Amino acid sequence: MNLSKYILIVLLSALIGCKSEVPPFELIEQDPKVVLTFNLVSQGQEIAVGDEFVDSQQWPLTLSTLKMYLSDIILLGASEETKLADVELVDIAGKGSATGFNSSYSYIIPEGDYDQLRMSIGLPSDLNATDPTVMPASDPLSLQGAMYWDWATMYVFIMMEARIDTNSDLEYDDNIAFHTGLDTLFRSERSYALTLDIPAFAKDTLHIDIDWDKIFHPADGKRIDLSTTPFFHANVDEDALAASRIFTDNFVKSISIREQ
Amino acid sequence: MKQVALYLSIVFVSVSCSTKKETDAVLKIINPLSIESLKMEIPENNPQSESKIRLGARLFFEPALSRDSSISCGSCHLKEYAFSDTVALSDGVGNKKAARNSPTIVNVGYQPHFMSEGGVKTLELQVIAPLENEDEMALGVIEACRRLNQIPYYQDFFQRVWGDSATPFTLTRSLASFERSIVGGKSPFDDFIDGDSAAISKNAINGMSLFYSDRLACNTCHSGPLLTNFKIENNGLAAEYGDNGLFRLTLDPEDKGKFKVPSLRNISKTFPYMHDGRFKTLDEVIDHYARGGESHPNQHQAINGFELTDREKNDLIDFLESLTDNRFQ
Repeated sequence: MNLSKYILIVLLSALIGCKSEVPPFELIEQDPKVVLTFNLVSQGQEIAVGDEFVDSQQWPLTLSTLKMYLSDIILLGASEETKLADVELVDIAGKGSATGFNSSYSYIIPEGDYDQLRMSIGLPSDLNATDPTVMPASDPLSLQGAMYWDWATMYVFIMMEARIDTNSDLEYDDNIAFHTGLDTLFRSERSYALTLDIPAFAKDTLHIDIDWDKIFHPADGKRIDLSTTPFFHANVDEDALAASRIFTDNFVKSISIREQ
Repeated sequence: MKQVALYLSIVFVSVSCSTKKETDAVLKIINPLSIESLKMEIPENNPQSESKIRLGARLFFEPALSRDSSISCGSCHLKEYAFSDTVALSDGVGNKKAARNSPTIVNVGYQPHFMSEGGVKTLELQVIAPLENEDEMALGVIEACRRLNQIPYYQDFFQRVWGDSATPFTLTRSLASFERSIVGGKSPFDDFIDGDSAAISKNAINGMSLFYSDRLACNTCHSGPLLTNFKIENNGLAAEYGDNGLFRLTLDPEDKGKFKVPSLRNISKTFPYMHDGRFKTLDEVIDHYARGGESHPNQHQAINGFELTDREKNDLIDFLESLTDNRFQ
């Protein structure tokens, strides 16, 4: 044994010695886990709350809020159907958001192959009639989410707010606000294709992208002109309602799933 | 016996003022008008108690429940005006104005639904609206609870009443309990239907006959002990509405411009009138109905105009003023 081999053996022994101080194993749940992570994207880039971005129609924008209710969230395989949640409140602001809700949720699921995620955008009428004051703060239907339409005793399904520079003065001086709700704007059981082969002990993340440009400037649908209709609520008048319907339908179609 | 006395008093006083047909019509309607005939629905999870009402009253006048601690519920619901306001649109925080006229909350516990379009199903949930509204108190229920729980007085008060801190549940229930306790059914009109024939003037009796007459048909919508049928109707205020009322909820064009029929009790105190406070006086209100509205497509069919002499108009106003419970002063 020459000197270099001796040194190598000593170093390896030291490394093994260090390793022995680390706990011998990590606690791993037996069942596989899937994480749903929701993102707003524009032209392939993820947009976080507060980000400045330029959309496909060259509008300079900054995102203020994106929150939405999803209900009856189900993963479907050839023979498996696994319900992930009755209802979730997704807040794109993510962990540490003012509401306390998140953009990412994880679920324990049976191992297997899944090819579809099915979910409803908004709340079915029975959940939409919930009394939020009786719900614990951690519940997505509590007042904590700041998604309750107190004048209607119903929930806002999608709340998207941004600021826009419509006159190229480098100031985001106009608001875009879509607060859509009421039973008529509930979109039930929308299915999204995916490929998820998840064995035991595994964890996989599904990125659910909501594409800004497909909401406002879809190639194959009705567009929303941000220069002339910068501010909308769901139901102030018929024009606003019409825009809210387009917004909701485009929003549903803008969603796609990619696996990490 | 009461009914007989009432019958005699009405016939005696009003026979010369109105036709027999009109008097008979009033007599058919008038017997069930006592507020005591009403039953208030109390939610199972919020029974009334004196301590809860006291806590609710304290909260009602608590400015800490507005964002800048400048206004309370009581700022827009003034006791001396039957818990309504005297301006068309009340001041909210930060120089903002409420979107609608502040309604009276006297007898609010008898209402089957709340807010001008009737979209709120319980008084407990109605409490949330002004707290959350950016043009009104603009604080939010969650933040309101956080504030209250930092004040030792309220920490103690909530614990004594609820055995709990201020939460969305305990806060809304306390305020709703107080509002349910505000009942007003002691007006000259009530004394009159209780048998005191001198409680209201001869002119007011004549006005009452007009109110219930086929010619004016005010009681098509303003019926029952609270002089409202609680329905949501279009009363022809405008040919086109800025605030579309019930349409906001149903999105049905046939619901455009529909608002809750208000109670006429204490009407002399609850000026200005209509959901946007556009009419300052009862005189203007009567003129609107006499014109037959502004011909909105959804306008209620009963609003089709009528003619009144000046004297009849004054008599009608005398009757409306007799609906005032003078304890709210």
